[in-house]
Amino acid sequence: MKRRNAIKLLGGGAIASTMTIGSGAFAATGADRQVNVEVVNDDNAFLSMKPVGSGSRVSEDQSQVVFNFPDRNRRGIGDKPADVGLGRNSTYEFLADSADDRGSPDGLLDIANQGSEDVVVYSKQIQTEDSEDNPLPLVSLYDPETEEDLTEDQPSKPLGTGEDVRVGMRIRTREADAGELHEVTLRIVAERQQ
Amino acid sequence: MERRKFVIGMGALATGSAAAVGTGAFAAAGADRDVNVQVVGDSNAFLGLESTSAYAKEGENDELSLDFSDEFDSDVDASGLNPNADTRFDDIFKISNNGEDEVRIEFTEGDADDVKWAYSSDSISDEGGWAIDGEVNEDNPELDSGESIYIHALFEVEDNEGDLPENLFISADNV
Repeated sequence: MKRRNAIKLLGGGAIASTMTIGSGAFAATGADRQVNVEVVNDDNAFLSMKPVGSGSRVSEDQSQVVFNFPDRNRRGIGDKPADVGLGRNSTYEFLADSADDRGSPDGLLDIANQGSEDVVVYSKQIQTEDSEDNPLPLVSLYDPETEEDLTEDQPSKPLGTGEDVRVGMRIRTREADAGELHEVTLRIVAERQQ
Repeated sequence: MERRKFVIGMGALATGSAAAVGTGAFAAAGADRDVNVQVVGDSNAFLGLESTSAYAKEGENDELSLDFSDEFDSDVDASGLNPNADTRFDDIFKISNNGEDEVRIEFTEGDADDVKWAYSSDSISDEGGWAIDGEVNEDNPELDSGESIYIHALFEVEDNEGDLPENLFISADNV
């Protein structure tokens, strides 16, 4: 309320000033306007991202989507090593979560456009080597229909408001160290179609 | 109401001062004069604020508000920004100088840590990339009479909450 009072005073000053110099000019003005911004879970945001399946390859952790390969149930805990993992120099394509019917893969992640403009979606890996210049696995979202990686140069089909696309994840392990849990950051981008 | 009384008081005092040095003086005079003030919606005001996106709404009394939280479309159930993400909104609203003198624009509130307000003289919806002219509070853009700028926002949220604005105080000062 104090702010509103301040505006009224400013407004009064401007009117007086206008009268003095006799033109249609205004000396100063200010407008206080409300801004509502909320940060919400990934599944509810303008760029909505939801795990498709019921396993734990992809899940929501502290309101953000996180991927785990192998899924969390099979990853080693503490000193206990994982009983399974991804082999080196291999390409893996994950198109369903671990608990889901392998006969009809339905995608790993559902990405929906909940903004007001048409967008295209792609992913981009931030770092491809670790701090000691060792190769990290290369990770990318891909379109199950075209089987192509979704990249900046070749993104998804345009998504209108309320439309979604289900994507899989492709992982190229390269020469990444065996016996390590590699943490990779994947940037998922939705851009207005140019 | 107190403001009105104060202004009239000032007028009476000035008249009294003139009387003291003049001839044919009168001790005091008071005259009530009409002052007509047309209050209009934001889009037609001297400092014109006009929505150019779904995220700026002209609500009660045509007063503009910005909303990056509630549903804006019945087809979707979005209610905000992704955590730990950058989200950009282009061409949110337009500021126009509908007065006669050049003014300098400044955002004195709404400058929370996790938002950058940018401007451009043209709409950037059809351009590639983020073809902005600069940030509002770095450049304090100056608008001649009749000129407009489009306002854009970049939210850079690094956690699950963010330091985000609750209001935006837009000031236009005479250059």
